[in-house]
Amino acid sequence: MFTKILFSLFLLSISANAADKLKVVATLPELAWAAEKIGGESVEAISLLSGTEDPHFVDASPAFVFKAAKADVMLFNGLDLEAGWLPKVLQMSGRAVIQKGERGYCDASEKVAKLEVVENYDRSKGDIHPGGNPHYTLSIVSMIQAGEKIKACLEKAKGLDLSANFKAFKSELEALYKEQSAALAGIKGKEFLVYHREFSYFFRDHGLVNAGSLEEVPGVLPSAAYLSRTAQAAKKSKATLALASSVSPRKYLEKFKELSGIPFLMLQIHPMSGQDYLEFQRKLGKEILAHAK
Amino acid sequence: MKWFLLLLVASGLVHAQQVQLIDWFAGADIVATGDSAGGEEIRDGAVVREFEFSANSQIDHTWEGVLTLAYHNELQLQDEAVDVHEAFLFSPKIFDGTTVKLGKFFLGFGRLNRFHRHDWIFTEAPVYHKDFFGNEGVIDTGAEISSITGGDMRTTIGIVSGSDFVHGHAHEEGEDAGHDHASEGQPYTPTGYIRIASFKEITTQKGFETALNFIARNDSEGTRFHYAGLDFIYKNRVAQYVQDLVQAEVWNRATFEKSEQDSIDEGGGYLYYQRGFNRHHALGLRYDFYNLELHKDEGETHREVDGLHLVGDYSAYTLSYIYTNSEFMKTRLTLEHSNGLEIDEEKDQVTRFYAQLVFSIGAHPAHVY
Repeated sequence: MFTKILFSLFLLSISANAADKLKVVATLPELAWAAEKIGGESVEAISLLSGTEDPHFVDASPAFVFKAAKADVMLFNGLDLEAGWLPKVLQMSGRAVIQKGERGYCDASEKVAKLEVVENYDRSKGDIHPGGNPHYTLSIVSMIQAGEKIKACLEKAKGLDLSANFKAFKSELEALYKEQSAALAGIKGKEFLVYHREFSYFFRDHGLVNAGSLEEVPGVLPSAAYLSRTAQAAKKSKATLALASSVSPRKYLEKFKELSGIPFLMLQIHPMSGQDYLEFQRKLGKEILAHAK
Repeated sequence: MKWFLLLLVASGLVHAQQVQLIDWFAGADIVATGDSAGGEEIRDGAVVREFEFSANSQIDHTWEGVLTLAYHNELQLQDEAVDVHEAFLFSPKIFDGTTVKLGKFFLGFGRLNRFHRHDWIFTEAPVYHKDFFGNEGVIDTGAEISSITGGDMRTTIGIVSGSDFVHGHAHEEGEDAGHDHASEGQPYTPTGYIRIASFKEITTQKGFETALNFIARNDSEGTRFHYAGLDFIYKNRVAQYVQDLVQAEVWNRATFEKSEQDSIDEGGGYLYYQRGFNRHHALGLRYDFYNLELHKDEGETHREVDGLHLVGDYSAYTLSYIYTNSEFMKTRLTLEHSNGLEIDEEKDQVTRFYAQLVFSIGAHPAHVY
């Protein structure tokens, strides 16, 4: 009888441990991936976005609110990428631990070395992110920096020591960085046009050059006159390819191609939900390499 | 004096932002209108219909506060007013899965009532809404809790004083009815309301929400009102813009006159579809109706709503073109054809034109579903 009780208690403790996993709700799939890598067995992470959306233009969907209401940690990109919708999701979730200032509020950008920080800005400069360009997850180097903050958040929320997991995460990304740098070495110094400034951190990682943006000001569709001027200038530059995210307005890219003769490449700039970040990076590198030559 | 007060508070809050983390927001709603009827029944012109100044910040580690001052100028009513639109505190930290709101706020029922007018997807409220809830919506003082129930439903329950609730019956010529700033005096019992909403996610960019609403209130003369309503929203977002949007509400108001057991039932609703073509251009089509009960046996020949005379069942079609310059600025051109407004002795049809410009400065507007 006593053995049976002990056995039952043991089973209960196992199921309690499984249920005790730290629930991380991330805004982006790559952040959910990083949280699971760093948190290991003690973390269960999901992403609100599937990877196909433009995170600037998302509504505070009730489905996001319901997911956030069960979170122990809300992990987000920061630098105002989710400024239009995440504050409402947090507020409507009624989940105390993930509110600003609480232990489950995790801004992954905190330790990232920011590019394109803007001082003295106003809206005449477009939909500006004054704290810096928010598209850092496309950079392996920045993902390691974001990982440091994610580790700190998970440790604080669960009282764990995740040093070993973080070391493995960092090693894996450092190896990927070396691999990607070697693969892209042939196009180092090459000029690219971009539609929106989503590739700045990626370019920095691999020594690529931004020859200009097709947007007149960030977040605003270019006028016909601006597109025409940019096309004329692009013809004189060394750029032979324009890069854009898969959610960029194709019509404007096609018009630019018609005016300049420079082709464009639309790329997935976030992994799909559940996709391995390493696989995503390799695919991204291969696509750019294939079209840049 | 009113403007001076508004500017004084606004400048104080902006100055305060330099020393504390206060998000401030100012928005304006400018409307020009014209009609096919001519004459004095429907006023034409252009006005700054609304100017709002709002500030919000953490009060302490638990509560966040919102203060909104608003100037209104309702063209049809020739009525200018500056008032406290919102003064509430709220917290998502009191009970798990629940937000608590205390103070003066837009009551959390229906669809239109939960949003400020400058955030609406059309220029003018449907006529039934003006009669039931006022030109903008019901703002009152009390408490509201909104809680996630069953994992994918939201229940909102509120209790407010009832003193600011709009009531649109006008039995005599010239009575000020359906007017947001009208004062009825303190009712005998407070107003209570409940909204139960369910959301179905189709994809992360596509889904619909359906909600049931019920409101119970008494006015100061002992008349009881029961409002039952259904609201619906469907959105299909494609990359950077909403391609398809369907929004609808249907409401019934049951009025129980003092010591009467039988109710007078009146119903209204609208169905709106908007098609976005890209981030700049969209077209919207709305049908709205209002079936009202006039007390003809008591000599009631019309119902006065927003300064207009409804002489029987009302219906209207509107077609809008919406130009979105950015998230912070929108222009809306609308053509409306309606039946049921008293134009003159023989005419009850009119075509009206609205041009609306909405813009905001300050904090980034929230992308509320």
